[in-house]
Amino acid sequence: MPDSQSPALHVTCRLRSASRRRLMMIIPSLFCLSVTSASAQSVGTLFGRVSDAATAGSLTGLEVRLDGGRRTAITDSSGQYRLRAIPAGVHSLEVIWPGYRPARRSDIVVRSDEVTRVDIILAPIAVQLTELRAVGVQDPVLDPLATASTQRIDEQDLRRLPVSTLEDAIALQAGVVGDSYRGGRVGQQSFLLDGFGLKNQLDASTGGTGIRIPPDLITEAALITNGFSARYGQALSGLINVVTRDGGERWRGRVAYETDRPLSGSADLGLDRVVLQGDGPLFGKVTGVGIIDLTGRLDADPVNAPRPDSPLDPRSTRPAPLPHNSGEVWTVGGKLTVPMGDRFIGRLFGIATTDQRFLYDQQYKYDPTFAPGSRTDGKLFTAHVQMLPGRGAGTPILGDLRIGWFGREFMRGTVDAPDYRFGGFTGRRLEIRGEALARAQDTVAASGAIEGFDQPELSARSPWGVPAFFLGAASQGEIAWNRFGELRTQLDMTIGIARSVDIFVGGLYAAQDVKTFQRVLAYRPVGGIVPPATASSFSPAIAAAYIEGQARSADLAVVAGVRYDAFNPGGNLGNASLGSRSAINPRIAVSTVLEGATIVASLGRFSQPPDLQFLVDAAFDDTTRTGRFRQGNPNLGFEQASQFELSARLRLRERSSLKFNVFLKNLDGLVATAPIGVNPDSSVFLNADIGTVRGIEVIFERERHNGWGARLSGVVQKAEATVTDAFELQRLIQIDPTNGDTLFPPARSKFPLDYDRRIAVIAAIDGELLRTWGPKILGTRPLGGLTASGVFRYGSGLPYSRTDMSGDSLTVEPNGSRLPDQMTVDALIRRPFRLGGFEGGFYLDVRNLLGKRNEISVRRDTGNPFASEETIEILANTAYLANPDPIPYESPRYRRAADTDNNGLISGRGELFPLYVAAARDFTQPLFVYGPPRVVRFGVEMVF
Amino acid sequence: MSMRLINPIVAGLMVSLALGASGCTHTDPASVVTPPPEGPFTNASPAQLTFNSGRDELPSFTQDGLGILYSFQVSNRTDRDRCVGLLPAEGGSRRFTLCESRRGFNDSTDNLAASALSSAGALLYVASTSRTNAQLPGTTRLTLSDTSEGASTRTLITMPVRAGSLLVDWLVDIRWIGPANFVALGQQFTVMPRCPGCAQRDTIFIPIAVVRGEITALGATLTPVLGTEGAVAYGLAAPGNDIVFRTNQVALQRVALEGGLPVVAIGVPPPETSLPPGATRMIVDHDCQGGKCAVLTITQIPSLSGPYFEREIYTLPASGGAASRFGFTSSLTSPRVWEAVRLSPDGSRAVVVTRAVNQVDLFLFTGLP
Repeated sequence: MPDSQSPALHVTCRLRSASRRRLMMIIPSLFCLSVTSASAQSVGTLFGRVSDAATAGSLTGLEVRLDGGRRTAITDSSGQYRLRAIPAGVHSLEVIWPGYRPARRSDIVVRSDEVTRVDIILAPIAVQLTELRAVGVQDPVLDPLATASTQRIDEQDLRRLPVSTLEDAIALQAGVVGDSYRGGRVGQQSFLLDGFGLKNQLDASTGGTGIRIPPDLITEAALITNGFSARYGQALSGLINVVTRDGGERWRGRVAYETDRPLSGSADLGLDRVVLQGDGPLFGKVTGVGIIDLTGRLDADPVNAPRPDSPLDPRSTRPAPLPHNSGEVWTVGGKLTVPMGDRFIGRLFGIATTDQRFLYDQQYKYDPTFAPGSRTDGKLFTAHVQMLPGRGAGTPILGDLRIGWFGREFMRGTVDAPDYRFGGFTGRRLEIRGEALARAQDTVAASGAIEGFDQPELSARSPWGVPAFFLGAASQGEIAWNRFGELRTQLDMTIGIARSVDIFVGGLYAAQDVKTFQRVLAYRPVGGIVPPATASSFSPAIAAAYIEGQARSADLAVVAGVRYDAFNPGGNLGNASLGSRSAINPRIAVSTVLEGATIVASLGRFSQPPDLQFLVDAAFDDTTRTGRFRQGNPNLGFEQASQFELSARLRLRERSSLKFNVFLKNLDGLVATAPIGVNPDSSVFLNADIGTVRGIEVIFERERHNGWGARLSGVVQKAEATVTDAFELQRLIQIDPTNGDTLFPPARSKFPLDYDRRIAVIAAIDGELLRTWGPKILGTRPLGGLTASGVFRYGSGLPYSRTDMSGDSLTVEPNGSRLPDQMTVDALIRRPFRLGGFEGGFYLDVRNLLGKRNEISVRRDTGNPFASEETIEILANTAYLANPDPIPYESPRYRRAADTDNNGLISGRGELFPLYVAAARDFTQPLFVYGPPRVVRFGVEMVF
Repeated sequence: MSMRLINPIVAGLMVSLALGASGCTHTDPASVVTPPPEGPFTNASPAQLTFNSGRDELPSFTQDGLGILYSFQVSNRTDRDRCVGLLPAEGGSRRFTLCESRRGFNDSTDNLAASALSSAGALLYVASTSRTNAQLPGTTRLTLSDTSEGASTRTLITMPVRAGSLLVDWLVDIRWIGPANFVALGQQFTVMPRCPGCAQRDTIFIPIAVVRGEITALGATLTPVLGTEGAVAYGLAAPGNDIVFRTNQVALQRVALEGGLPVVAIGVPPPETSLPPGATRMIVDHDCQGGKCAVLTITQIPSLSGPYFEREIYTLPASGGAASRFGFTSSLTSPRVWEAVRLSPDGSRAVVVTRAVNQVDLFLFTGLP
């Protein structure tokens, strides 16, 4: 029985918009239901009517086949068909019926959250008609049931715009600053990968998931920033929804190589990237996708730092690439899609990324091979069984059962000198000293000096010779390791219980496993200034359940739900009283359509478990502002936020739209560090920080048409909290060391959050020339088919805290000063070609086209990148007083030019101090305070 | 999988590899260029080799004669470590430094000394570790290190060790005589008050004998050279690496490497020189290489204002004969005194250990007769 026999089909979404648009909007309400249900699964819906080309009459009982028959639907008595829960992406549709010409169309784009209408007009054998006709697409701008503030980028955008990673793509969205969304702290976001929740719960605020999703694997990526559905948790500021491609019904793929080898000097940053992607049928109806994405860079973190003045500085002749700053990222992924009968589809997905880096350290400028390295491994394996509604079922039910394992391992420490094989590729797994000890978490064995570590010495290789600032001979002896694993089970159900009411219900349970190990100064035994090794091992768990209902009338939709989140930190965390904690998070959204505009109001409460790293002790090597030690707190509770948003979406013209979002978000219970008593080095993590983010987003979009499209977004916002990050001392709260009471002041002040970018503007434009355009030269049109795009970004300066020269005392309130504004222009030009019957292309991708020197940080004491002369003098004097000994002629430190009396000794302040001043000036040279330089990459690709 | 999949991959890879391997190589990062090492401080003879404010002593030429090994005190280290350095034979910047920088050695005084570098790059040295400010050396080891890249180090002997019937606490003046054979001067040490009733104590080295060493897979063995008992210094003379040693301050004796009955080879030079009335002359140190020996003497000369001292260095055939003076210093004109002399393998250069107050430095004499 066809789906259309469901009684819910007969309700339509009637809109007050202009009649020419009305046709596009008249959609059976169940499709509206399906839209919303699909949004949770990263799926969309196809529907339409099949008619006779000669008579225009409806054709009943025909089978409409999706993707070669993987999914089918039968037309009802009115000729209508519908296909729900179709993964977002490009699909094919065909109809074969006796007496009619077969009709097929292979480029139908289904987007998550959207309904695509494809009407099919079948031509009798005698009538000439070749292709299906897609009549219309549900207008996402005016769709009243799309209550989420969603900004999306699809595979077309990924290909046309100058982006090479998912992070690049997300950064094009309004309100995104690095890994911060709407001014929130880093880590207040969560990922959904094909509907599967993915979050590095261990240290999301300081590290990512470790998984790099290659753009070639992505069908669509969307950022949702407002009161998202009750089915989503573990996030306060944003949800990143990534849809990966399924295997197609025929083999296709892409092979690409990009590099900057043709450039020379500092423009050559040592980039090589190879991408191999393919997907297609494997056997039976099983399809597969596979991808390998390998990136190597000799300078993985390039900076646009100025050329130093001193000719003795090695960077004076070649400012880039920086030595010992290379990195390589290996990603391998695959997906199997296995239809299991008419109602079930199974998907197996796996992806693994290894990101290893050699890290430049200014202390090791003249002995760079002793600088540290790091390696992050991320792995995700999921199994997904999707249950589709049964034909003729009175109550359509969609179900998704997902089970997946996510693991992330991070290691940082002493590495051997890189042995490059090809560009920045070493081709081997980076070995980090002490890894076996860290994995064993053997703090007893780690209490002595650890085998394989030597004491670093002050380098003799600098042009200044003096024993100051620069290190050599050995590494700093750091061993930092952590591992996070999570086994998650997730069930989501969508139930159409009535003609205009749908229910979404589901939940998840995730068993986590955390292990950490940390040791510093490993060449020395523990004791004195060497803190003991720290290790932790515990097994937290999170659980959630939700129910959400959606009711709608003609022009009004109400989505209301509640989510229950629970979190248990697990055992083995010392003597603290442990227990699970829970939070109830209601969400509601109301939307309606006014004349040519949809208005959405949403209100929601959100909870996310704290980073698990705050549950255990933290020791680090930075006494500036933060102290060395933070006592872990296993009793930390949820970090929470309440957000209200009012959105208006306007269809200005047929292909242009305007969106306004006004939001207010109250943050509460964010993790901060509170001192115990008055000693800043005796402190504990607490849910002590509160904050507010308010802002306006304006997004104009000109959809791609006639060869070009454009998007302009502007954000004005203000984000404040009582402290700016979890490691900062929250001095407005204090723990009484005698009775453990929390002491609150009468009032709390708020300061700008670290990512409080007050004004941001992003403009993206892309266009394509016809293949027949331009002059013909030697039989070809060099400009024909050329695509070009540009992205302009402007952002007002981020806040930072000014300190005195000691770095210990703030001179103004926290984050009371601002960095300079930032601006970049990126561009991509792509020229297609054909080779041996296959499509290919050359492309030129340029980031920071104008070479703007953006200051992404400054010295806190001077407010600019450079140390003051006074600071340099103090540094030099301190170093001189620590090593006032003469430098004899035979010493490698001897520099003849400094031996002004030529007596074979550089001695006395008169001869030694100028060397210390020069060394201090060199050491304080700003590097990573600058953003990336102009980065150019040439690419060649073959698409098949 | 159809051929349609393979072909474009192959084509793409070919294009990629062609681009990658078409001679387009990446620009390397700017490399760190260490300032070039200095050459000799002066071409005069003698030329000061070391200017270190700590002690620079126990020099020895490398077996190939191209370098001078010595032990130096690191002035800016609180643990007062002594390291082994390698200078060019003509003087200049240290080319190689070996210090005890391993884990767990930062709170002790680590003394590396008595080093010898073979032509094959094998470095023998004595390493002792003791508590900072301790009066006696702690653990003392004879260590072999490969100075090539990827150096390996192994302890051959932990002292004290038996050499025949003798107990050896310490070795000095190690010299290679074969790929796995060496000669050294064995010593014992004790601690005595620096002066009668003094609280300060001093380490006193007591000469035992010249010993032969053989490096084995398990370590090394020491054998005393019979006839050299009580030797305070020695040199090796051709033919056959005869040992020219000294047990007192008036004569050098010679014995075969295998040991035997020593014979007096050289008296206090120059025997033909008549000393001023009342003056006395003694041998302070000597060294022999091949057919040549260098002898450092001290002459005490009385004067109305009290005695003064002259130090002279002579070369003369190892078998005895006419001596040629090539160095002279007097306490009347220079506060710097000469304490030891070591000859280069070809006998054309000599390193002299000098002391001025508490500063001990090395000087290089060239063009020896």
